[in-house]
Amino acid sequence: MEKNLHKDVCQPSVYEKLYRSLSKDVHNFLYYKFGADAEPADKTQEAFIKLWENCKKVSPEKAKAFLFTTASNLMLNSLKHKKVVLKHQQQNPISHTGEDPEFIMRTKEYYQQYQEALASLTEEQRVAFTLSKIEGKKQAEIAEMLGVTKKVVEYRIYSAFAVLKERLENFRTK
Amino acid sequence: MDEKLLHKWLNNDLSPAERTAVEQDPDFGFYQAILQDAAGFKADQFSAPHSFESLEEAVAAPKTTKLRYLQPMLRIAAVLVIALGVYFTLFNDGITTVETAMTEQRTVILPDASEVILNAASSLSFDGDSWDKARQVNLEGEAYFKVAKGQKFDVMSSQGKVTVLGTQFKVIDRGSFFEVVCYEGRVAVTYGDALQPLNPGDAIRFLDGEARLYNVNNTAPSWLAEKSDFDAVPLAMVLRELERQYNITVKTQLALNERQFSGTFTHKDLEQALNQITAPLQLTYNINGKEVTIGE
Repeated sequence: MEKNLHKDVCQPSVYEKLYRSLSKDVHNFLYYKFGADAEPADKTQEAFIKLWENCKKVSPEKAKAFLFTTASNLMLNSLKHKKVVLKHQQQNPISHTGEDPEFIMRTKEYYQQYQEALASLTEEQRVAFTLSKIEGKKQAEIAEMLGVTKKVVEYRIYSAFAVLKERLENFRTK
Repeated sequence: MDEKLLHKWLNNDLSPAERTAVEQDPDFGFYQAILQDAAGFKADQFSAPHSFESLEEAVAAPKTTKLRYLQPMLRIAAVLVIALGVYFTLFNDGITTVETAMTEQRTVILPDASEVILNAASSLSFDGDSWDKARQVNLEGEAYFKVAKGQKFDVMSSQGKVTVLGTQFKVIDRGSFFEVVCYEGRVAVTYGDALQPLNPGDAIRFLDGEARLYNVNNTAPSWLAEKSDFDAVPLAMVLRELERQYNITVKTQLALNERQFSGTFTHKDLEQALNQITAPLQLTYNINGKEVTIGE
């Protein structure tokens, strides 16, 4: 049976390109959504393996959406209500603008609160917020990844920030 | 801060006038600090366990893939025949090892009902206790795997790792000869940093450090049907397999690695098998009890 698609995910070169361009995004998405303890690297690989398994049914254009949905589902299958933990790296980038950074008392308790606040967000809020504000993704791109509208993404980011500013209010200095 | 402005700020959607207003807001410093501190929770660096290196350099022969349609009836995912040497054991307790002697074939059922059929003079090890966490076996020699659908399934060998996605495939690891044949489903072969995916009918062979992709037509290893097929395999390998299937020793003065054999030998009759090997290559044989001599 001849393939009539010009580009086909079953071609190793096409598949490999998809892997190179998307694997990091898939990994980060899983990391932010489910936390560091949920083994996002393994699930990323599994999602790509599933893509390979289904390469006949998924076009290169649809591969991104397929990967994100699959990765999410794979994770849900194996998650046992683990607490979501995003690890805090000690090397905290300092403000680039040179503005006075002392609006917050950056104690250990502050970072602890921040981590818990992130964990307390809904998955949707957390993913939208982190992909936008940590990974710097445009909201239109996030919307495409998640299969929702841009307005929905904006709303989730807004809700996430509302939670954060309320929970971190106590550490405010000015 | 005004809610509408806050919303726009979060969307990076402020007019110049609005931006000035935001920056002068008493809440601005605090809000901006929150966003800056978010960076401290950035995701771990992701480095793919297997990087997809270009295989154009490694693969000599051009590949013509013949994709075969998967039969939907089988729930069995992958069949791997891996003939590989076990180069180290990873497990401590609860390890099951199955070995086959010369001329023997054995079927092993794994904890998830996956099946492994070992060819002669082969060995398979796995840890039944940790099977639900990770499906991993160590193989030495040659085996045909039918892997049940589930998490990924790894076969470790001395020369590489084969990850199965739910397929039927064969792996051979004998000395410096390493081959993986995919019969059904999909297989990913990892060697070093590279990853080679295989479709049904695809095979990859490593011999003395060189990789070659080729196609196979049969749907299962021939040794399940009491014969051995070879496709341009060094004669040395063919004779060693003959030894394993008949429990004999083969002696020869010939330079075996320079000759290649394509064809079949039966497992049922030694004389016939020897004819099948020697006739196409215009060689002679002499049987002396358990010892066979091959000559010109």
